[in-house]
Amino acid sequence: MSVADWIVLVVTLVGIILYGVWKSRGQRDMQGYFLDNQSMPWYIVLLSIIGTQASAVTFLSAPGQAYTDGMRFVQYYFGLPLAMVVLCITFVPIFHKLKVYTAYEYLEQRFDLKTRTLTSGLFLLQRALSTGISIYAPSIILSSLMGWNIYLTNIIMGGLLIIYTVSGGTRAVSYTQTFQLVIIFAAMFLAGWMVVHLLPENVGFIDALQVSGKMDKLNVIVTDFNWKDRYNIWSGLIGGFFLALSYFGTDQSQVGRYLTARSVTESRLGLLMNGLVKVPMQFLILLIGALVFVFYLYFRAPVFFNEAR
Amino acid sequence: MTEEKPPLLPHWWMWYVFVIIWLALLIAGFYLFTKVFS
Repeated sequence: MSVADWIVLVVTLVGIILYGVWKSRGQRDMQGYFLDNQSMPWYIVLLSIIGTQASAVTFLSAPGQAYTDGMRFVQYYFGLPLAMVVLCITFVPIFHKLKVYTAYEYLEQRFDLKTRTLTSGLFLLQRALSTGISIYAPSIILSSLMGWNIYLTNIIMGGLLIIYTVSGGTRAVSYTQTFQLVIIFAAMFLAGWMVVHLLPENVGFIDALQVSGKMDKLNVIVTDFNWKDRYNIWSGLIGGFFLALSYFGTDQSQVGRYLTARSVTESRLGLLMNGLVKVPMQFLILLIGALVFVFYLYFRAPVFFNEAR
Repeated sequence: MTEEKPPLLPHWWMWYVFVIIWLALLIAGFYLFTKVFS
């Protein structure tokens, strides 16, 4: 790594932590810590919802998925906009009306403490496992680049996250995720532009699409109904709907995002905008993978491509 | 609890229909994309 790379890495990591801590200054009570006094506008809710769902795994493995299997993975998100509509009609007004801090607090009011304890315990277990993977994926890359020990890299990455989330509460999480998302999107657009720009001179964007399509990488829509096929329009619409409904409606990592909105309107707008942008966003991320596939038809792939070392 | 008015459109149900129409248009666009390039 050059000096410039080091500067970018250190400034980004330190900047994210300081930004989160600075944004959450002056918070003293539970309402502020968990809900940011319900003061968030819809666009911060939207960005933090997207930031919560999109981990490093999304931006590392989704293009890899398109590289190997084509773009049909995007169908998995087709049920999401429908789930956003259902949540806006049902869950959002109830959560706001009851002024709960968590989705599980509602379950205690509706049923009993045992139900709340069980569901919040399941959430913590599930989230701990998935966060472990979300931290491990970028740690593989960082440890490979730096020659660091993978365990140490995991501890550093996880430790940085813990510092600003525990000290800053939900406000720090929302604003740092917004900041991270801007960096990630800028990098994705740059990667997309570079992969087209670096193709041989006589190969343009449309040519790359045609090559990719002939190699079956642009199979965005699969209409065949097949129980053994994970990604087709039917599994995307039906399975994706229920998956999104459970994730956005009962997983505190998402419910906590839209509970910070200043009103029911702002919560609804954040969720509906997520329903509008998520599918095209995922399409573009997968398209990069399909274009990277074309790129490596013309250039030699790395020796250790797709191998964790 | 009184229903808050949505921005831009007069009723929330119009927002919901808009999101569903948008999804339908995306799927139609992706279908054409698949047919053209595959």
